[in-house]
Amino acid sequence: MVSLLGMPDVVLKEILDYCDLKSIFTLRKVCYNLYNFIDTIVPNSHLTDIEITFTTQSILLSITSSHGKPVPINYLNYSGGCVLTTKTRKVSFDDVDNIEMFFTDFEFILRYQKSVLNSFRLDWSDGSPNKCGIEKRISTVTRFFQNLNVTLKKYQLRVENILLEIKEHEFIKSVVSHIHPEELQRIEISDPFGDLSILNLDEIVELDQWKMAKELSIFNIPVSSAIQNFAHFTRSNISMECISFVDLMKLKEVFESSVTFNFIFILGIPKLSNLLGTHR
Amino acid sequence: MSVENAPVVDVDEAAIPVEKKMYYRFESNDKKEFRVSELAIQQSETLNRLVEAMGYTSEDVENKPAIAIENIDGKTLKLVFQWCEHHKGEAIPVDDGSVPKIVEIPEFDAKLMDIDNGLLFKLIWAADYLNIVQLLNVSCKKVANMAQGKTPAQLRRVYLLPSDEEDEAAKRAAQEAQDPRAREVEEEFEERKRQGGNSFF
Repeated sequence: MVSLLGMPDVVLKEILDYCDLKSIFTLRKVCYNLYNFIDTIVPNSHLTDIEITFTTQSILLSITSSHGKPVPINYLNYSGGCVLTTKTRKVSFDDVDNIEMFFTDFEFILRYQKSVLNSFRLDWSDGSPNKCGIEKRISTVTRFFQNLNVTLKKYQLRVENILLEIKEHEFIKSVVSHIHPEELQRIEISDPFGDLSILNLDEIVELDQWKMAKELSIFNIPVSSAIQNFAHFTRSNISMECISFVDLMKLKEVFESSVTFNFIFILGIPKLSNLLGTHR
Repeated sequence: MSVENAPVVDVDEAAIPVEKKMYYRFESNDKKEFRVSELAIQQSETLNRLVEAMGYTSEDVENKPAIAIENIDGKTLKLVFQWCEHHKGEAIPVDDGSVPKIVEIPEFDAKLMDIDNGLLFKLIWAADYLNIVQLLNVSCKKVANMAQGKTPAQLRRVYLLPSDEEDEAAKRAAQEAQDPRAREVEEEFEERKRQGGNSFF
């Protein structure tokens, strides 16, 4: 009797190419031969979007593939262990914490991602400071971003749109710098809670990723960087605390000479203190 | 049964050369004979090359024995030629490396492939052997769709895969072949199985 394993390798590879990530991972558990085959050829999971929502208590990973709806997986920190929840399962692990578990799975998923992602989104939402002390919080955040740094560096995600809700510019830099610059189209940075008073872009503007991206949006955070650093974007949407006449003249020059630059929206955020001049 | 009295299965009435259309005769490994139009044969790269190389005239087709396809049975070959006749004249898709490959299963194909899984795998095997690109695409897609939302145990049944006991035998065979990685892989597999594989599915 001809079975799935009776297929020539080329055909089996073709079949796996049509499978979604969940099917691939399930097939991997079916039998020894398939396990070996899948680990050898590493089929493409065809993910289109990856979204990570990080808080000090939990990490929510949501993966969407070209085959359908987003699949959410939640890693909750539960007294040093991890409670993992998906739509169909809830499992507790005592010997591994949620950050470690998340990164094991995240790396495992990225291994199967061979095509360009439409979007990679990272939301760093506020943790609940009441439940854990400030020191614990800082160490969790640091550990998360260190791990993320290592993973992203290893896999050099190819992605068209990155969307970051991050409060610290060094973390923004560490994420952006490990994205493959070639396919990057759009960078979006926002701070939903308005915690950041100003976004320092000095190091970020030097990155290839910054130079090669075509669109930029920075919501709810004023930027501090020379206006010409935004001139290569075809569209950009930023806010600034103040803009000088010299800046405007530079912008005009760029606008006249550039073929790509066609839209910049600058939102001024005047502060009362600025108007009154008390801070000078 | 001799070739002469073999039942002739007409795949498609319209394909019979009423207007002196060229057609060919093929024979499966269980001696079923098929008449297939030249245009339908073009869907199969393997058969198309074969008939081109043979350079048969209409008389040759009648006078010479049918072309034997020795490793495909009549039941499977019937489906293959039904598919080819239905899709004759259609352009053969070229794999341009676009990711993901988008393949829709038309209604006709879905009905044709509404068969038991054993036969479906034979059909895929034949599509690969005869190099019928689009038939391979739709049938592989169908098999992949069958995996959605199933547990490992269900997949084992759907895909006619070995049970754990048979799997054990395969492992032993691999070890006996003294594959240095066999032990390591086995341990890793057992570990994965114990943990339920990756943690989330």
